[in-house]
Order: sequence, then structure tokens, then C-alpha cells
Amino acid sequence: MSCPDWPVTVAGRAGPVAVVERHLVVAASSDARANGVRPGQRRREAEAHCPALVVLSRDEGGELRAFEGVVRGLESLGVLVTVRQPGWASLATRGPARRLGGEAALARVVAALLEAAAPANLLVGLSDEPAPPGNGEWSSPERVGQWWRIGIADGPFTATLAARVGALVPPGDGPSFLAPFGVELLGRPELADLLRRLGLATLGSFAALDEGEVSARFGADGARAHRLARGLGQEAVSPRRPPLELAVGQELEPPAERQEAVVLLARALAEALGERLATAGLTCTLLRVEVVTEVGERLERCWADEEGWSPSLLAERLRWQLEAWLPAPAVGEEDLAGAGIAHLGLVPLEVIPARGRQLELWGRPRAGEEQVARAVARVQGMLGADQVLRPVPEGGRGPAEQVRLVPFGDPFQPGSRDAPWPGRLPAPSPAVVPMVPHPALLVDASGEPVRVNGRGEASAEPARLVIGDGPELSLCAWSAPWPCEERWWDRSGRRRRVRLQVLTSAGEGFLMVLEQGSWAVEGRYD
Amino acid sequence: MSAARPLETWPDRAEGRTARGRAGGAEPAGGQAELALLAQRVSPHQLAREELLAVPPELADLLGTPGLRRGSTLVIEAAPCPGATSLALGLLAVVGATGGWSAVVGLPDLGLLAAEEQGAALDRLVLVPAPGERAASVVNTLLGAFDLVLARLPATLGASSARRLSARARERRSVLVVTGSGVAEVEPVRSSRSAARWPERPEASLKVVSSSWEGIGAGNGRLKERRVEVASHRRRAAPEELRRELLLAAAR
Repeated sequence: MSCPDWPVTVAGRAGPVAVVERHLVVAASSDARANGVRPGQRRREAEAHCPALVVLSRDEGGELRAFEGVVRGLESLGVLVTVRQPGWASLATRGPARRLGGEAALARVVAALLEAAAPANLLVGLSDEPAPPGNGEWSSPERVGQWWRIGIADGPFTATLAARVGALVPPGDGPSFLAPFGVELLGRPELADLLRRLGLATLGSFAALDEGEVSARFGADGARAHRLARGLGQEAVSPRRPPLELAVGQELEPPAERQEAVVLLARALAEALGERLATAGLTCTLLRVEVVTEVGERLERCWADEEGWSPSLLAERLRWQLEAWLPAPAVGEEDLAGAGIAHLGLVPLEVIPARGRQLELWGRPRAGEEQVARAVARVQGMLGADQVLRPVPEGGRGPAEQVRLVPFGDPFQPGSRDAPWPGRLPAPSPAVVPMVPHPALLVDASGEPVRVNGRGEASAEPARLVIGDGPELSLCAWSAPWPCEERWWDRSGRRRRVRLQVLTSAGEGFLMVLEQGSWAVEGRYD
Repeated sequence: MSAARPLETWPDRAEGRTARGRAGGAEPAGGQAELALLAQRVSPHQLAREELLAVPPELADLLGTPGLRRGSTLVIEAAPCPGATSLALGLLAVVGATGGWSAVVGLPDLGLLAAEEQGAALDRLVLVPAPGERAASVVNTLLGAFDLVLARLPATLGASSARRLSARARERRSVLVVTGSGVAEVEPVRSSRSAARWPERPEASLKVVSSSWEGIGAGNGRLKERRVEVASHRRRAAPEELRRELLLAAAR
């Protein structure tokens, strides 16, 4: 079953809503879709289609936490539920379908479970209509989006498409179900492009080719795609059951009471698993996460991913999963709300040969960076993720504007430095730059505050400087004022500032800034 | 730790080689130089002299060693003259030039643009601005992974914790730089309260004893160039106290 616009659903807001990641729409609510917003659009394009659009940024951790309730509901069927991503889960149907009296009955039960577990603004769609042709998107926008769709079919690939359109495909009907879909759905853009140019636009026309000829023309990967198109599914890939020694786990004695400790351990386990898999030359495509609490409660979850996970990605997902299982303690309360964690394990259920990642010339990853990442992770565990920062140089005028601090591990694209920044201070820059400028007084010999007029001329020669409630510092030299007009074209955002360097008799250099009649110390040349 | 140098250290190794060249080694020329570097790179041994990070000659004199020695502890004091923060930034630049990583703990107001101008590599710099009471354990964690940790530790830090940190730096081959209060603070130091209390004798304890700016007048020019005189108490060299003049900031 799938809910393609799960991110929007989690946001829980009515009206046209879109969730955006890196300026691209990843999900849109039904109202937004009715106005022409589609996943994959640029944010601006979406806003042009629908000016009232509420744009939210993506919160994958929150999505997974919200999905946890849905998965727990599905698990009451008594089968193993595999989560590919929040909003997309699959389970083996044969057992429950036999017990409940057929696949249609199972689909209705699942629909009822979803309705019970999912947030209120979600509709459960169970379609009796035939599959639409083309690439599997509904033509009418109100049928997509925040709908659960349930599909049942032979093999994961066919079932994925069935869930996309909400179809129950009887056993053996896979090929005829797949036939009208476009070749793009094979997930191989280059092959799809070539097939289209050869006039083979649908899976049906591709499947009609002779297997041997496809293999000769398109190679092993083409043959695999051909098998998928014929509804033969994944048997050719044959993920193998891994031997148990790949599994990693850790008993905790005494049980971990703090969430941070568990997250730290999860990260270490993810790395250990990555190392074991790398030694065996394998990539894990199906993984089971197990947690046992000190009172013996056992929590399990299966994750599937065709590409496998890198250790850092796995650690990240583990953190979200653990946050979903173990709600964060209330403020002021150190311990986990429930019981402590006594065991944490990662069990690979299916592995495929790794297609390889390029290592360094000398055959090992860069140790320095890995050690740094590990140490930073530990400090983040102690203080919180936003307490470890890295500086990113950026364009700007003042010393504080030209370096932005972002949490370590967060992706961030800085603005251009090469653009002209009129009024930018020349090097050398102050060695001390307070986060917030310190208010100060700059007065002339008679004790009057120094002002700067619109032409950038000082009203008098500055003679003394008082920082906060500190002592008076007498000045021996000062620079001419530096006017700096920012955003003069923008009525609300514009700023006019004047900067001035002063040197005290004790040899201390200060960078002063005047804004709206009051002086402040923006930097110290220590 | 010794084997855990990233590949970017190559250019620096050339510098390191010139630094050692002064100690008596001859310079191979052209392609041979590259071969020599390659041989160093694949060699399983790490010689003691490679534990040094190349520094400018004046700074080497102040430290009392031919370079910045991995595993050592340095102290920078704010009094009596301004310039201590720039001195600390200069040490970040030493590590930046070698392709190593630095961490800054407990100094939220450090001027990072000035650090970059002096040669620090911002993409290999990590900041922990507000560690609070856990500053010592944060520094303890970072030592080893980072080539240099610049830290201000709380005044309540006990002598035994301080000794443990020094020992940890020595064992994990990282440089620990401890600053006294007044470094990277907006308000200038008023009294001698700034003395950095460090129970073990550091490799070198540095302070600026005179400082002068050039380029600024009464209403004209700007702060362009600063010369400071730095006094150092050294542990491994005689005479114990030494003064050297440094150019700490210069207009480009």
C-alpha cells in the first residue's frame, strides 16, 4: 500500500499545501494538485500555479514517526511488514488472504486498518477501476495525493505498480496488467529513452521481444528489465539469505536509559554492519532492526531499499526510528519515558553483491575525515546536534555576515562570494567578532556623541569610547567613516549603516558600527 | 594516528621537508622530489621528526622546537597587550596549511573571517561554541580526531582534569592550545586576572608584550598592518624566555 503524498499528510494542514526539498516539490495535497501542482516541479513553478500554496520544508524524521503508527496497525495482521520509505509499506499477502477469504477481503481489512491508524485528513482509496494507461498516474487530480492506495500482485515490481494505481491483480495476470504502462517505470532512464526511440513505448511492447535477442542487444541489465516487464519479477536477481554472522547486535548491561546513548550505539552498529558487508562484498537490500527493552518488550522493523544504505544514511534512519519508538523525554527529565533498552540489533535479511564504490587510491577511506565524523558524532550526542558547527564562507559586507555557521552534517549551499559587495570591509578582519554587537558610546572631546551625516562625514573627532558599562578608553586614531547601504531598493529590508575603525591609546583596535543613531562594537582587532 | 593523514598533506609535506632541510637534509630535485614524497607516503614508518607541523621560523623559535609538535600543549595568555586572538588564529593557520583538522571549543566570538585571511582552512574547522560545564569532556573527545584543539576551559577546571587533558593530547598526538580569559572577547583585559592556570608546564606559553598598528591616522587611513612582540616561556629550549617580533595581520 502506498501514500505518495505522505509528507503532506503528516503536516496535517488543510488547503493547498506542498512539501519542498531542495526547491523541488516532493509532495502536494489534493487541493494543491487540483491547482496544477505536481511533484518534481520547481518551487517557483508550483507557486505560480497556485499562489495560495503553503510551502513546507521536509521533515523525514517526523514522517517516519507518524508512519510508525500505521505500520503497527498493519502488523496486527500477523505478517512481516516491510517499509521502503515513510508512506510506502508492503507485506506478503498469501497467508492473510487465505485466512480472510480472498485478496479483495484482505484489501478491505487493510483499508480499515489504515483508516484507523492514519491521520484524519487521509482518505483511503480502494479502487475497482481498471488501471489507467500511460505511466501510471491518475488523470484526475483528486484521485491522487493524500489517498492510500492498495495494490496486490505477484512479485514486488508488479505490486509496486499495482499499489501506485490501486489495483488488485489476480495471480498470473501480471503481464497483461503491466502491458499498458510506460517503459520509464523500469527505473532505467537510459534504457527507457532508447526503447522509446525504438518505438517501444510500453512495457507490453518491450515484453513481446524475444528474451535472447534482448539479452544480446541490451546486456544482462536489459535482460533483467525484460524479465520485470514480463511480470517475472525478482527471481532473476535472487537476493540470497545471508548467513547469520553478518548480523550485528549489542547487549546493554545495564540497560541504556538515555536516548542519546542508544542513538550513539546505533551509529556504531551501523558502521560495524557496513564494515562487515564491505568485507564480504555485499550490499544489504532488506534489513531488520530489533530492539529489546529491559522489560522484555520486543520491537522490530524491516526496511527495504534496492540500493542499500551507506552507514551514515543507515545511522540517520536508525536515529529516526529510535525516536519514533522511544519518544523523547520531557524537558527536565533525563530518562527515557518507557523502559531502558537492553538489546539493539541489525539483521540483514537479503543481500546482493555490492556494485562497488570507489575507494581512495590507497585502498581505504580517508581516515582523518572518518575519525573527525566519529568524534563530532560523540560530541553531538553529548550536547545536541546543533551545538557542533562548521563555518561556511559566504558573500557579505560585515565580518559577521561573511561566515555562516551551520550545524555539522547539515548540507548548506552558501551564497556567492564573488559578487560585488559594495561597502565590504577590506582585510585584515577583526579577530574577535561577537555574535551580537556590543552597545557602546563614541563621544568627542566635549562628551557629545559622534554622529555621521548623510554624506559620510563625522560630526566631530571621536575622542573616547565606552563599551557597555566598562571604563572610558581614550582614542588615538580613527579611520574615515565607511557608509554601507544595503538593499536600498527594498523598503522594508533596507539598512543603512556606517562603520568606523578606532584605535585606543592602549593599542586596541575596534570596529564600530553606527545604525539608527547608536554605536556598537562589531569587532575587536585583537 | 600517524598513518591517518589525509592525502592533502602532500603539498605540506613539501613544506615539512624544507623545514627539515634546515636540519641538514639535501633537497632532491624535480621528479625525484615527487618520488621521494611517494616513498614517504607508502613508508610504514613514521619518524619522530614527522611529528612536527611546519611553522614560520619566528614561531618555531618561540615554540622552542623546529615545528609545532604533535602531542604538545600550548598556552596563550591575553595580557598585557592585544594580539592574543590573532596568535591563536595563526596556530589554526599552521594546521590549515598541512591539510589537518582543527576544532575550537568554548570561543563563540572568534573572528572566522580573520582566521581564513590568516590561512586557516574553514572547511576543516569545527566549532563547539557553548560546551558549558562539559567543556573538558568535549575537548577530551575531540583530541585524537583533530590535529589541533583550541579551547577555553572553565575556570573551575581542576588540576587533575587539566593534567588528564594534557596526557590525552600527548597520547593521541594532537596539539592542545589553551587560552586564558580575555582571548576572543570583545572587552579588553583590565587586570592580571587573565593568567591561564594550567597545572602542567606547557610546551610553550605565549603572550604579546607589545603591539603596534600601521596605516591609521586621525580620521584617515585604516588598520592595515600590525607588528607584535611575543614573549614565550619555553620548556624544551634555552634560554627559557625569548621574545620575537611577528607580523600578525596584513592588508592584502
